[in-house]
Amino acid sequence: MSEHLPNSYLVGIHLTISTHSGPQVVYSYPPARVGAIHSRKSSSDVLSRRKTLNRNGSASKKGSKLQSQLSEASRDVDTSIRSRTSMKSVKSEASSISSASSRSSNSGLSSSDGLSESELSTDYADESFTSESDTGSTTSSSDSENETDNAKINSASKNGISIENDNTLRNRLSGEGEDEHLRGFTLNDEFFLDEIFQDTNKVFGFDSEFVAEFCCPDRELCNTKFEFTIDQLAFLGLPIHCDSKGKWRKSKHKRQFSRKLTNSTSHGNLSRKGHSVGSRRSKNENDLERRMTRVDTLEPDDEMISSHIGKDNLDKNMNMFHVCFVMNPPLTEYNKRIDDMYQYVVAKLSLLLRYVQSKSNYVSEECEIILKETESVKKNSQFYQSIKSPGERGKYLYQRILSKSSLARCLTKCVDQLHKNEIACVELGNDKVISLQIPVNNEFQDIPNYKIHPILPNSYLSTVLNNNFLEGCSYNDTQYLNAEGRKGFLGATDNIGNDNDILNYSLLLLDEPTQILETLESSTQTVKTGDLNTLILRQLVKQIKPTTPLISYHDIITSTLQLESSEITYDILRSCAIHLIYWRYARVIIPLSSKHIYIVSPLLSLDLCYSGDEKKFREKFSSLPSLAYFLSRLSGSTSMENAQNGGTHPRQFGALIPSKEHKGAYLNALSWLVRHGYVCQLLTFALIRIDRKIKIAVEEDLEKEGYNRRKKEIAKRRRHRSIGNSDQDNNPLKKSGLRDQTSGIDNVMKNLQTDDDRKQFQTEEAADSKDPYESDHFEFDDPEFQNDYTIILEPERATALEKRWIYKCIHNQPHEIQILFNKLLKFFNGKSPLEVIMLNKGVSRHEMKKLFVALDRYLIKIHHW
Amino acid sequence: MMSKFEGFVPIHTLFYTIFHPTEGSKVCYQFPPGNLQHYDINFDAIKNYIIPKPQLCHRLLTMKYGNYRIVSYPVAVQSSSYARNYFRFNFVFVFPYECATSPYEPAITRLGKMFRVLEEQSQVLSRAERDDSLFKGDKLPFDNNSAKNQAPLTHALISKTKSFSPDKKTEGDIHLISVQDLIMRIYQDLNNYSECLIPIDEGNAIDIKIFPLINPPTSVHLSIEDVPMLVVKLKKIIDLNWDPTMVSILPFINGVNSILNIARLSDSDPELVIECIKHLIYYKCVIITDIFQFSNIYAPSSLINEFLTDPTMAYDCQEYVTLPKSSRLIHMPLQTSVPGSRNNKHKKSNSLSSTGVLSWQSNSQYSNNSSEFYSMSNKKRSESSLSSEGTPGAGRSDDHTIYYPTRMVLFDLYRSLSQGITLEKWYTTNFTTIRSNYIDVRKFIQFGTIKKIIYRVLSYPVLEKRRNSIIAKQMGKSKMAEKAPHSKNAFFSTSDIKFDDGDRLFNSLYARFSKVSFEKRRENARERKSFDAVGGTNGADKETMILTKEEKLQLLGALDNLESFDKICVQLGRSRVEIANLIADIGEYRVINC
Repeated sequence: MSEHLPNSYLVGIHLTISTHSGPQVVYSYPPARVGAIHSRKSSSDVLSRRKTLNRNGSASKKGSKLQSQLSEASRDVDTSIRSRTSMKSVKSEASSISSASSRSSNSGLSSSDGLSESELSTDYADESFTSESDTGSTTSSSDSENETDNAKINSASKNGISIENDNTLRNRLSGEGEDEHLRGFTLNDEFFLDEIFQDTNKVFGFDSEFVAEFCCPDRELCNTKFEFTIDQLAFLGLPIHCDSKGKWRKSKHKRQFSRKLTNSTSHGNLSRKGHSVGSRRSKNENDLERRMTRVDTLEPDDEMISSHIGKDNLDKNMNMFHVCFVMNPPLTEYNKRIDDMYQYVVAKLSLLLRYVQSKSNYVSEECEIILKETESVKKNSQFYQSIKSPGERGKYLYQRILSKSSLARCLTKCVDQLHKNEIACVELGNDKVISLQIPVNNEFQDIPNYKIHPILPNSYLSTVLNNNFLEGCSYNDTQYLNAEGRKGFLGATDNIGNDNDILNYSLLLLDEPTQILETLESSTQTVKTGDLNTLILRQLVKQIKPTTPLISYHDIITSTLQLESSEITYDILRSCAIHLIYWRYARVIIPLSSKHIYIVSPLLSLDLCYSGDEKKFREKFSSLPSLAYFLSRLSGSTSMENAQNGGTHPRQFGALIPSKEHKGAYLNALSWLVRHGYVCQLLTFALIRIDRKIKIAVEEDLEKEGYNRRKKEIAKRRRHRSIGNSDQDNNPLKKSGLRDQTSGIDNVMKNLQTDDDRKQFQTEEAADSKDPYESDHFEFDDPEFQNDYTIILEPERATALEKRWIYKCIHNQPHEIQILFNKLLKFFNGKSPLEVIMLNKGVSRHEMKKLFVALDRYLIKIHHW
Repeated sequence: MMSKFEGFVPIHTLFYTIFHPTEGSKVCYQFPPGNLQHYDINFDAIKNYIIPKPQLCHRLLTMKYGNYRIVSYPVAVQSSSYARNYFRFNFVFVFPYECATSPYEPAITRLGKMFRVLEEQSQVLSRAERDDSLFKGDKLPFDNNSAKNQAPLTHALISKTKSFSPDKKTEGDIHLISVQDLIMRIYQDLNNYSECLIPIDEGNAIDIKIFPLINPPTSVHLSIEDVPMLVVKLKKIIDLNWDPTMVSILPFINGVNSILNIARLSDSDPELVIECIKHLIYYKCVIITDIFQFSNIYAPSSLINEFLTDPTMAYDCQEYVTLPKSSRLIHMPLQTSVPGSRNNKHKKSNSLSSTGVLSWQSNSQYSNNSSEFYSMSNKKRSESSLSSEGTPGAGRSDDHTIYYPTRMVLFDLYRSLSQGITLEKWYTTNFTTIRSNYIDVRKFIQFGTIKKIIYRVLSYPVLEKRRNSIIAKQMGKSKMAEKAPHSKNAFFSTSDIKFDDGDRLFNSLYARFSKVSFEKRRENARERKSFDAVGGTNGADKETMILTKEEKLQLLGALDNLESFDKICVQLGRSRVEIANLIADIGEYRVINC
């Protein structure tokens, strides 16, 4: 139905725990009837959709919006959260790199110099990555690998101990001052209106005891995806059950030894953030299992201590907790919505909660707090008793709970943000930060059928999918620790190839830099000044231009960190970029240039956005022609109706620019157009086409070499045998259509021989030549076949004969053309945009042009996005 | 997306559970036998979700268990005759997890509901267990039938034949069904035929037919200028019981007529037609394309590689786009030399269906209703319509000497389409190729758009100064307000409107609209040197030139809403060139192709 539109279909969330005294719902939000939530939600959907329409999707506006709602004091809370996340990618990057390097050469770059500031926070930064790297990102799977990994980590993570301590210390310290959190939170008043509000002992229309019961499944069903639907309502979660020894994270006995050595967490082992790749479900499950059984580097002693320390009963009693998301997706979208939610939110959150529980009993402590607070409010608070309206009363109760418990705040925020399809950046305890979002589907590679499946207005259409970069970085996690894996690091793994480095692209900020800076800036206030990562990000946002490849901003990193440029600094830059993309601040694009061709995006729905944007455009670019002018020029039509001359091919953007002085302004306008989805770049794709002459020439060559002798015999035999076919073969097609005759593109034909004889012969021939094409003179003497072309679909995997053809194409060319051609050969597959290849391979436009002029008979171009 | 329907997921296991007063929840029967154990489905772990508390009864429950999705509809029947005043049972369907079970879900619900009623009425299921412990001691159902009750268990297996044999049915009021047999048949029939019909007693039977779950038709956004095209031969299955609108529009759905045109031709309301088309889309009988015109722009999409990689596409294309040899289209001149063909552009495409129509002027069945506009010379358009009519006919069968265009030629043609190049220009450029290969341009384009290897670039007129959109709105408003009292004057008697800003513009508009004379228009046309004035002799031309007030409003409104040329042309029933001229009269405008 509307699967391209963002809609979480999230009804609410509840936290259920199971103790010795039975299951109970600790917290649920929102306390409203399901129907009411839904209607409210849909209105907020519209809102958020419009927001995306305004090209936002970026968190910055949301941030600022949020900010404006908050009181001064609350700002700190919010910003501290944000700052942490904004740092974390960088930090984890830095730290894992440093740990990696210190591992390889114990001298090397010690993690403390130059990075000392960030090092301190690596612990939690990495942790948040574990959780963020939803289960899709794998850690090294086999046991043996694990072992080596662990061994490596051991040495690396020694300095982690101190961090650990530091964190716990901080934990204790910041235990006070919790009241300020309350003000940091705006409760959604709508949920507490009397007509919507539901009594607190009901959860989404069910008795809370009852919900607790069915949300506490058998242990067998725990630690895996929990999905239970009652009519339209789906309960989705990942119940976490401790093992028989009361441990929250599984550990294998044989690993005990190594685990002791690996005190503190092995950061490197933990994978980094990102979205999972590939077929999500199965992979998810597998990875989840793997993660479950993975050797955890948690120190047993620590755990023992913490369990001893645990003063309340709940710590010992609680054997399961379950953060359950309640959703009501329509049937037709059920699978997708549930999958998305589970993959991007549920699993991440639950696994992080399990981690903090295992480390510091965070969940049980918070549950204790919530339960106590609820009880004390309900029983003792006279103010509570005095409130007449149940809605107000509920609101007071929730306010009290939220002021006390960070977990409750986290869950509440989660629901509120996801309702708005925004990024929920939540803080668990005082040191773990996790950002949860269901990615907005606003980029497409192919034109979706938007008459039937509506899409977000201003979606992007491009072969260069941002998602590939996000996925690419999680994909590469697997090899992250392996030295050889570093090369493919952070590259998109689509058809562009492994060496598709994000640094060759540029970033297009999706909002005004000032807006983004504002959110970043506000986040730096609380965190210690001089925080390097935020500094880098700010510098980046300030300086970045969509016309310049990212790699030119490398000096920001080196100068800020005062490091020699190395693979590490490049990786920091990469992860900064990924961070900006993940937070919807920016998009990866091919650097804008006046030399490129841009067209009006086919996804554009003028009627929805033009009227508003036209004004904005005029305000922003008052000295330039109107938006309509740009669009009509880019769409090939000149001033008025030009049906008479039939229009022109799309031309380089430079054709619009009247003079050199205008270039900057026009490019700015272009970036605005691209950012708002008005315009997409027309890319060029190339294929190699072999014509008959080449084939004959190759044939002759082969004959000279005496290679073809046997083949000819076969061909003769074939002619003899298939004489009945042969006249069909070479004669005009009958209606019945022997299909494989007019071999326009016989590379395709190879796969679908309809003629049995042919097949047979092919297999016979396969022995001595891999000739995909039946080439005996009988055929090509026929005048009908003078135009016989073959397109080679995958030059990289060309057969021997195809290779000979290709070689024949270039053998008369000058040397440099040959070199260039061979360098780019594998990209002439019709799937890799030449613009991207030029970036990645450092080929200049001029060279490319020369190549195409020289080989224009054999290289054909296709233009699309 | 029009994803192909790939059949239903087979049921993995079907089992029947009851709550036994002494033994608790238990699996009574399963099919295939032993499947639960075999696939490590631990019933104890899930029994609380299978035989749940009363709150969850009579609701459709699904849950994930390992790699399975368990779907069931638990039932609890309350009656004092049962041992615990309750009889609980559940037919549980197990599916692989990675699949869509939604087609089954309504059937499962219905199954549960039916047995609930049957159980309430005649304790069909509880008796079938032949277990006295299910009932209270004083209310044993088998008491009065002790003779039959003697060896129920040994006969359980053959009870199937008993219960379903007609003589047994007439024999006594108590005949016992075999649930084991039942689930076996449900399982087998559903997995093999996706439907089942299993009689239970003389009055009841289990009728299940599984249907694929498709998005509701309401989500489709159709517009009047969309062109539906049949992909199923509906004419063969047409039935008088169909919706009358559906029946009446069906003959006009030919891949050429737009929705509005279909509505006009069949004398139906466009909204109703849209509803009908939505339903046809829902049942995948129809796909949506666009109006074919030579002023259209098409460009390759990112799927164009599929022409090379999809093994069948190129062949299908060859077959589809080739004209029959006998087609006369190919011999038509590239440029029409017939002067004054302008007015004839507004012909129904249908009017050209007879093969002999090559003299444009004689064929002046000009229809003002027609919404098919071709801004190119008629020749080309008729070409396409000719061929479309001609293909299924005799043309091809006796045609042995046609060469299909090679796939390379077709690919090159698709490749050469481009943003900003009208089809007319493309056609001119590639004329020799197209002609020598007997390619039907309309079908060629249609094939490309259907397969999505090319896409239609829509053109939108956008006024440079959109100030007058205010006027349009005001006019619209005033129209609404004043139409009722004096509709004749509605447009210009809008005394309450303050024309502060757009005043001047409005006046000029007024002048243009109301006073534009035929001669003026003709001059205009001549200026644009596209057509001679000869067409003016046609009586209908006068109407063409002057817009009614309604139409003016429509045009302004359309401009205001940024509607595409296609839509405006269809709405006003005028050609693109005319519309372009009319808009040019309103103000400076630009064309955006996207």
